[in-house]
Amino acid sequence: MTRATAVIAGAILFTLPFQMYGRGSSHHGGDAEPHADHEPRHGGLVVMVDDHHLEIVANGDRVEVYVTDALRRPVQPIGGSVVFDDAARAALTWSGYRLVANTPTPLAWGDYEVQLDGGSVLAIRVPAGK
Amino acid sequence: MQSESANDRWPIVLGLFAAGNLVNATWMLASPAHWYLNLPANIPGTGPLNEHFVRDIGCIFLLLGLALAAGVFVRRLRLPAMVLATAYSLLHAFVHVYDSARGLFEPGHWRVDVAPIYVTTMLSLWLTLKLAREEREVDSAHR
Repeated sequence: MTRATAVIAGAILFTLPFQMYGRGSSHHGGDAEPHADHEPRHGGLVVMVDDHHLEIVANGDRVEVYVTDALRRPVQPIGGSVVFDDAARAALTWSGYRLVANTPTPLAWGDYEVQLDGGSVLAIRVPAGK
Repeated sequence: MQSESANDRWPIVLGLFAAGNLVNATWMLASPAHWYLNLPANIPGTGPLNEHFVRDIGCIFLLLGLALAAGVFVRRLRLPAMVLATAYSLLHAFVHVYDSARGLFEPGHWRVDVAPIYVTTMLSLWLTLKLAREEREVDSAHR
């Protein structure tokens, strides 16, 4: 085996661990057409706001908001807020991989505002619990 | 005349293969959420993040990376390390074939898998078989 062959073969093998969980590993979405996929990933309610998707999950005493783009690729917002039942406001804070806010209960409606990097704001009013 | 070790290219192959495994392992173990969101892929398309499972799989990559790295320096460890790494990749490829066949993936998904999974795994298998043949020849020559 020549040095060049070894380097090329090694370089391809270098990528193998990443490729195993890369494009080829998705069950759906990713390379779908924009807005062709509204399936919840986390058991929540998926809504479209402008060119983005918000998946809102009521999880005990908090809500989680997962933000994805038109192709359902994850987006990291810079923050946000939610007003529950036109009264209680809570900050949506980034926690690892989604926005999270503590919620008063019971809830009927939530007015969500999510601020994206770049200045745009995604705002929507949805049933607060699902 | 070049020495046998000067013509030995396997440390390059194993070293790069080890580096890929170790980089991925470090990423998965250190920051599962970052890996989940930022691997140029659609990992969220496979379901919600489970940090524990990401770290579990990261442990496998760490062990494979360490075994391959050891093979760079210890000749007799090369073949076992390549066999382990290739076997993992091969089993993973079989899972993709099975899941494509039973419809877990969308129709036509197998085409997306061809280059990143099937071809790369076949390369790893070919290299492992080539290494086994060469090691056997070296053993025979030394007897």
